[in-house]
Amino acid sequence: MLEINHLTKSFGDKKAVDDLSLYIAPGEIYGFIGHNGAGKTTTLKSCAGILPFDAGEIRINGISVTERPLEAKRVLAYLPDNPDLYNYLSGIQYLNFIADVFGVDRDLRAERIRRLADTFELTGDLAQPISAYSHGMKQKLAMISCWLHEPKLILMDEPFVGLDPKAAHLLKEMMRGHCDRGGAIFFSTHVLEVAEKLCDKVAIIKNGQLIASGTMDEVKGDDSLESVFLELEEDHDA
Amino acid sequence: MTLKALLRVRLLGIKASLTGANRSNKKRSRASIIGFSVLMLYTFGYFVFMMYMIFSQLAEPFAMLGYGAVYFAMAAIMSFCLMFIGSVFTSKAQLYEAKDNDLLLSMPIKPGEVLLSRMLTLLLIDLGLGLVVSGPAIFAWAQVVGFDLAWFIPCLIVLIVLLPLFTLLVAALFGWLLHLVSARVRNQSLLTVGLSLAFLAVYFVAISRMNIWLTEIVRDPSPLVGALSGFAPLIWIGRACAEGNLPALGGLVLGTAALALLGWILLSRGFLHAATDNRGAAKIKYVEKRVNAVSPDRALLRRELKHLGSSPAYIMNCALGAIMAPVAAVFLIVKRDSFLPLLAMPGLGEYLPPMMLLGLCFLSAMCTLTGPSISIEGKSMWLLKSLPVTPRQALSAKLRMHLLVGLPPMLLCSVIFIVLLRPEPLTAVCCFLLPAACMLFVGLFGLFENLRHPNFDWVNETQAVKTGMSMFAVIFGTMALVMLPIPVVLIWGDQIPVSLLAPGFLALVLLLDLLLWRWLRTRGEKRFLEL
Repeated sequence: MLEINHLTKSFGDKKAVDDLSLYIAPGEIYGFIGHNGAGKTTTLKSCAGILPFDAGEIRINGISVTERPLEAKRVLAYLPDNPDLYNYLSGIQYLNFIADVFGVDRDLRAERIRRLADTFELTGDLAQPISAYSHGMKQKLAMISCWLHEPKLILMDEPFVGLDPKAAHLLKEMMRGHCDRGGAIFFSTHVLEVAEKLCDKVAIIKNGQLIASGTMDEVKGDDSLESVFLELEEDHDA
Repeated sequence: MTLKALLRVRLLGIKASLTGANRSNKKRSRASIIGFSVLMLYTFGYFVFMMYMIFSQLAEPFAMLGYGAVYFAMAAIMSFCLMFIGSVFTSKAQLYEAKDNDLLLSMPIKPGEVLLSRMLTLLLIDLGLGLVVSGPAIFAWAQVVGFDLAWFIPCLIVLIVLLPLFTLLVAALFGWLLHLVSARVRNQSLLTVGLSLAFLAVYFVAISRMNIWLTEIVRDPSPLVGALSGFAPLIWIGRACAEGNLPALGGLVLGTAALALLGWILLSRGFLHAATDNRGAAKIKYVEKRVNAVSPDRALLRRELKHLGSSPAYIMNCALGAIMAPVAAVFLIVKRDSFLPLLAMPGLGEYLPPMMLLGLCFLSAMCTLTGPSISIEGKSMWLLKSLPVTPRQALSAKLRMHLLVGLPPMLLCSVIFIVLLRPEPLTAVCCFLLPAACMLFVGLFGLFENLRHPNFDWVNETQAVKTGMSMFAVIFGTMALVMLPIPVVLIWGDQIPVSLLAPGFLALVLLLDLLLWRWLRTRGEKRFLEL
């Protein structure tokens, strides 16, 4: 579903991502962990077609992000770490805008908005301007918009930040459900316990380089993900 | 110490928005900084010159009649009006609605200090605006009565220090009231635009009647003297400035200091509440409605229009041409008897249609909607780039919004123009095409400039639409283009047939449109991806 081959991206002299390669198969929830500034967001933004990169290739469902960006973007959804949405629209206007851009037809969008907004308990606030939303409400709205066009791949940057426990639980269920239906999810997180319980595979990145990846068992063995992560970080420093 | 740090941050923010420094951290070239400074100086100089023309007519008769106090009282009123109109909406946006209010208030900083740092930077705006009136007023007076420190020093203290300070307080208080009211109404945008238009109408009425008022005042100043004498502070201002009257100056200094202290205490007490008041308008109940699916292009256009409709600052700064065009159309009809006889005048009559056509182009140039259209995406720019839309679609939506808002009122003006003036066929065709070509030029040039000089690091949207390299370049670039035929006519007027002026200018604008169009479809789209 997602192939990242030798991705390299620099900001000035600093290499934010250095020759990173990953493969995510349909049905997989793939966790992406690393310290602050390790290159997680840069990788996710490159995959989402937001950030041009210097070298390498990214394919989504076999479609190159650089050669056919529109087709690639149609089958993915991206959730940023900070949901800066269009404050001048109401929640429902925003969802209709996203549905229009992704070409979701009238009946389908109505059914999905109803179902997803009810799930996240946001229905009553859909007529409110987004500027009046709290951080958590914006996060929920951004999530609804992610699922609105039923993408094959969902890219999420720290999706659990700002969510209340109930919404976080719902999100985990939705992530699992999406992958059970053949989709894939690639998400970054600092909450290692969540990654450990939720992910099928995990990748650890440090200073833009991949230092470990594979199934949860391959990466952590009998230890906790936290201890393995800390150990790998120290080894890499040495 | 804290205040100094806060002030430094504010000034750095202003500097960044003026010089166009953005996330790319690219330094502006020396040429662009010099060009920008020249444009700023030109604007300032233009308004100073206009004011000097007014005061130079008044100074001599007022000095001869011994009405110096009235002269300066009038200068103070004009200065106050300009400063107040120029800063009241900025004070609302930058004092109470700034994005970093929460951040600063969470720090161990007194709310009063946050407010003071903001007010001091607003004082700079007031000082700049105040100088536009006070500078020429003082200079014109000095030319007539001669320069003397006895009146000059008190005059500087009153007009350059006390008056801006007083205006700042009044604007901050009104800004607070506006914030309180607008936070509780559902359609804030309409309220703010309505008020802004009311201010603007007053301004235009004052400007259009200025010559009549000036002639009447010069002929017989006694009604004005009588009106102003009834308000003691104005007479104190006049006496302090014209005569260097020390008791009057002392009274003004003490009065302003007391008001400033009182105002600051009042505002700083209410600041925390005002800046964090999140009550807003009543909650809108969601009722599910069936909506029609539209194409991505139409959805993008709708989004641009919604953005425009939600932002009074965007409307007032960038859609003024579209608002003024219907006013101009009505004006043309109402005042037709004044200018239609001019058509028959030899020498002037043949130049009248092209000159008025240039007026329509001038209105087109006042519609600069695309100038800040990329900058105002701000931190939500990621969304546009993550959606399955091409840069061409995104940029085209901005251009279509510009044309959709700007063109219809302009074409209405063109129709009325043709019906009233009945120009020759070629000029009549140009009546439709030239304002439209100019409107297209402003739209394309706005995108061109904003792609080259975007600013996403604003604290309040007003900054994105009011300041920045891109907006200055768009405003002055389009004005320079529209005014280009004037020197051409003045220099080579006798060699160029009048009937060719409009078609020639149209050809030039269309050529520029074509060049900009090509740039946007090639380098512009690439630039969009790199933002």
